[in-house]
Amino acid sequence: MSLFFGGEKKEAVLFSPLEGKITFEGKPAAGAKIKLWFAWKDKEGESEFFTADDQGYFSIPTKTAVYKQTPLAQISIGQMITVDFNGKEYLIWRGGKSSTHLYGELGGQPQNVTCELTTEEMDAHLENALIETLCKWDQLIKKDGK
Amino acid sequence: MVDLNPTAAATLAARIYDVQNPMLVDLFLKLPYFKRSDKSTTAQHTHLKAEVGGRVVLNHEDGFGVCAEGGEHNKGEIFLIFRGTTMENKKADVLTDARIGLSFSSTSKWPVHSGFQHCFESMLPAIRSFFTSFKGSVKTVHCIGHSLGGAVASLAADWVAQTLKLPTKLYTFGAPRVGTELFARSTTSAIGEGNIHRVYHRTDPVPMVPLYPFVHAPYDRQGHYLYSAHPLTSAAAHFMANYIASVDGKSWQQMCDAPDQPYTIESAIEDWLKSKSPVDTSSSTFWRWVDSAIIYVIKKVAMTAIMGIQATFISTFTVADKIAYILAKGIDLAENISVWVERLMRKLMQAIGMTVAKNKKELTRSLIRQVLTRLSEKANQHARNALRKL
Repeated sequence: MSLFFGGEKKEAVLFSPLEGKITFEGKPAAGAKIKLWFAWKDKEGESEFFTADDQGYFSIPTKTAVYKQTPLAQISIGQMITVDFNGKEYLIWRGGKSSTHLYGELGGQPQNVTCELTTEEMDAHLENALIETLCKWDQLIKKDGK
Repeated sequence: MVDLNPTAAATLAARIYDVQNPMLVDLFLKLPYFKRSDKSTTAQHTHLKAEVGGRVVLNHEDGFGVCAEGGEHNKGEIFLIFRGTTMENKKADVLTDARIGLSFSSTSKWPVHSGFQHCFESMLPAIRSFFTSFKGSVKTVHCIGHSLGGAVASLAADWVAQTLKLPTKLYTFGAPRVGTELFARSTTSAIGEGNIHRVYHRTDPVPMVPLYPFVHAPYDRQGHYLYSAHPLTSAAAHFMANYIASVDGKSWQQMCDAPDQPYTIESAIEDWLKSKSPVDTSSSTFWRWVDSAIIYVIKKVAMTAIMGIQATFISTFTVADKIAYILAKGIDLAENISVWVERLMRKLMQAIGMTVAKNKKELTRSLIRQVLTRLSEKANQHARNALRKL
């Protein structure tokens, strides 16, 4: 009977893949140290580190978690990316989302991402989640990742 | 008084879940409703710290709501937006904890759900100081929330309307029942029936709990009932993302009162009680019938025995104790009353899989109480399980 059916495990995308190029004053930020932080089940969260190549290119793969669908609770995921370059730390991405599907942050996959570290103001993307970033992209490819 | 449209209210109820940590509140306040052209003046806001959880379950400190003034297009409008339970504070199962009883509301002193009240009370000092320090005139206070957040928003709206006497609007999505009939009546008249937008999917199990004597406000109204073709209660029907999809592009009028349901028509309730058809507890209509039938029979007994129903509920006894007391009284009354108690108990026993009592002598007060407790547990468990099915 459906009544006792339950406790199923579900996969949640905690951070959708992000690929792009980091620049500093228009030049590739070669070797920039990238720190991705995300949290959902506790305040501390977890961190992972990546490094940009000689051309400033970086690639952060999908971060997922398998969790037991908890009754009456929605998932709330925090995200932050900071870049360490030439001894200075730059905040390039921060936000929160409560969707679990791929590219739920922006509502699509960003194409040709560039993140200029000297950008003064971050752009807010609030249509699908609460995201603020100094990275820019050409377009978003929508995918049915629900 | 300004009214938010359904999409705006739903967006705010959804986006508040994205505020995973207090540092994201400023991002939340970049939403169009709070937007200001002059960047130097940020809207006055207080991030509400709340203890999430019933006293007995867990007292967890967590960001739970935002209190903010609207932006240039929403001047003089105050937004109180509350978040429901998240994975981080999931242990606080306030919504479906059958042990939770009644306490008194902060304003009207009518009985409300203890768990919701506790949650609201822990935020009240912050809300109060927000209003005390607020400079300017208030046009409207919008109280918004989904699920447990909707319950807390209801208590907040009641407080704003009754204590501050400010024009109040309440918008809830898939919210559980907050108080008893006296509370529902009192809050409906304080806020105004037309200012309460209660949105729910037909198959969302959360608005079906807690069972009677908890009722929804606006009192005696169906609320904004969203039709769903699915006959069974489901988790999907509760999730905020699906509420956003359901209200998209609609006006409040387009989501007006449901086509009249038979649940409040006495003869229909009698027919349901008399029918021998098997009961299916996973059907959303079953719980609506149960609720109507309990109310119907209790009122019948109370009228005959000249009991004040509400007065009986205000005490330290559990809800099941009280209803059992009334129903057991009904068994001793004349045949034309007791037969309805018998029929009701037969249905309820069937629903929880108990052997049905053969005659009314078997229906003692302790048996009735046992049936009601188990039924209540079943309803809560049902809400929980329905949400696990996703």
